[in-house]
Amino acid sequence: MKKIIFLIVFGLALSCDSPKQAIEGELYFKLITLLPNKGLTNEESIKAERYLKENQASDNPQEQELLQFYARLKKNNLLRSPNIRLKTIDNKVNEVFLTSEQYKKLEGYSLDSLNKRGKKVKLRLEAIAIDSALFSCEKIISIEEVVGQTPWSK
Amino acid sequence: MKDLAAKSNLKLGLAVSKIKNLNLKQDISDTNSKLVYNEKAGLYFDDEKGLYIENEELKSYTFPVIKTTVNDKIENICFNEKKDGTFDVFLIKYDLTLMEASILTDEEKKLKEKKFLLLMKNDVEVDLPRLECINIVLTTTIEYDIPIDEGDLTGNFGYTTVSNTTSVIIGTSCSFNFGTPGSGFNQGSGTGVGTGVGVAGASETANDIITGLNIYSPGNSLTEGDIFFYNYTDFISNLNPEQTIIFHSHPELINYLVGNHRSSSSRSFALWSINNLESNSNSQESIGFINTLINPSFINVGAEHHTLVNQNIAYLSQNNFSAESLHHISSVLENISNADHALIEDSETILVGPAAPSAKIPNIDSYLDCYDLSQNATFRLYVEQPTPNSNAPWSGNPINPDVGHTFISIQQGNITRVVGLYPASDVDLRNPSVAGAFFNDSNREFDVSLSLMIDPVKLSNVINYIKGQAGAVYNLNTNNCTDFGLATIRIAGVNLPSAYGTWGVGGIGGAGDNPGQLGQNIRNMPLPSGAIRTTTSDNAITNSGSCN
Repeated sequence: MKKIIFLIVFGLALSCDSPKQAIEGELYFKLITLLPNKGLTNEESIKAERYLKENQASDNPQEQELLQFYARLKKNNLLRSPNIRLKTIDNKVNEVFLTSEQYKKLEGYSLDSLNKRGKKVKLRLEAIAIDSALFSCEKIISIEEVVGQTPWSK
Repeated sequence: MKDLAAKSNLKLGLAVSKIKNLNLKQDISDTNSKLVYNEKAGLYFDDEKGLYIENEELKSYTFPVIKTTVNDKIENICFNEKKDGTFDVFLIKYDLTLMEASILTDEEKKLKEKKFLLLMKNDVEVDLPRLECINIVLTTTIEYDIPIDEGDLTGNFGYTTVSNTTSVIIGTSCSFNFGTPGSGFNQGSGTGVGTGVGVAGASETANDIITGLNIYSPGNSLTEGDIFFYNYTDFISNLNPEQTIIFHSHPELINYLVGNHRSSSSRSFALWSINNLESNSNSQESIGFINTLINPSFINVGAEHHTLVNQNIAYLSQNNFSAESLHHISSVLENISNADHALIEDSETILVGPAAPSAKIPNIDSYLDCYDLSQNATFRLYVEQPTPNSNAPWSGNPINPDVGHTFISIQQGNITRVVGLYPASDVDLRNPSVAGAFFNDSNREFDVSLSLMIDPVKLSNVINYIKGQAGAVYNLNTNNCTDFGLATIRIAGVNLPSAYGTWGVGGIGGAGDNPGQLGQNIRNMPLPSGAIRTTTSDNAITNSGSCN
């Protein structure tokens, strides 16, 4: 019995293990986003959580996608976290959630200014993967402004 | 040949000592030795037998590298004293033996090659790309001492004096070379004329280094060349080891920097190129792209071309460096290089062809100042739906949703301009308003379009409306790209219905006209008289023609 309990606890520990990893890429600008870059306000967050409780699913595919997205954020306590996008070397766009202090280091960059100067921002972060495209940043390792075209989409 | 007595010149003596101590072999570490040995360069020279040259503010000391047979290639070591008293030290290698120097004519010697190797800069050992030059030489006779042993040159076995012919450099044509001495590859060549002189084999003059650096044009001053070369260390210091390897394997970037006098903007572009090559694992597409951008006929047009480069980079990037996009950019660059300078400076040049789709339009007035307002024109409304043939307001992943786009074009004869309204910076469901900006949507994909002929009055009204929107606020719910498209086509004479829809969940969302719904409206509406509807996804028309 003790062995079974040990195995269950050990298994749970492994399944909960989300090791930190270094991720890097270019700061990616998305002109129109569904989630505010600075995260939801308290009021919005409460509203979203209430909605999630009452609506587990939707017939509308976009709404369903958003519901699942918000549910993932709620589960990881990220609804109110500021966020950025990171384009990795394989052209994948990830969303990375930051603390307010971390976000302050990046919010000064604007697409217009970077484009005018022919620059882009390279980031190296230590982060925990929420899923394949969602990360929670533990630490900003480096922020480097380099010559190049800043990636963006509407 | 003069006796320089380096030891009596304190600063020169120190510089000589530093050269001597660079990787000095243990068995010749006797500081009283008459000969100086540098292992890195593999040379011996006599620091008391050389030549001093003073040319305006430059002072130079040149020493012949000791050679033991007439079949050895001629080499000099040259100490150029800087204003601050420090020395830059070069090894100059000539593809010319002592024997050849004595029998070849001046014309034949002109065909011989010379290589520079910078050993020290500001008294500090460096490892830099070297210049490789073809020289124009004259000859004279000199005497110098060689060790009598011809074996292990320790400088302890006495010397004998020999006479030989030397070559005096009167001009050069240089290029940069990388790799270990003797194994590098040619990086292309510049042109130049040297007014200073230098010596091969032994010394009569010394400023051939500076002459060699004067590679840009006969009109350039020595100082320019000097600064160019010495500042190379700054450029390389910005590169990590992998980037340095990439840089060294792409001679076209060196030539580009040389061609642009290593200006700040050219350095920025070279750095960008290296980053691009690194990011793309040095792919053939990336190499081809860089080579296209730095087409030699294009590199000397001045700072304004960097704007073009950036625009074209955006275009190529968005087309994944496809063969078609590269071909297009090549033709654009060819046109520009063949154009006169005034045309190059015309910022509208970049709008010809599909260059830089979705690039911000700096001035909408001049962008549209192309049309004859007394003539008809063709107006087109394009809709890129998030999901073709669906009124969904967005599609894909909520992290990077596709929200679609609505834009228009106006075509009159060979003049075409494509334009769409964007938020100038990011907006979201809670913060839907920011400044608006017009972007060039030339060649952008669409799913549905509606085109119609408009008369001069309507053309004027449409253009005036668009110009009047410059500086207007973009609002995701009330003044977005679809609102702009709807407004312009209504002015053009087609009263399309609202394309209203909602997005978001749980009270966190928005509502307004959107491309998904507009596309469906156009697909399903009765076709207005004279209008043409397209419901097959394609690329929009490309910009063409020059503006006033």
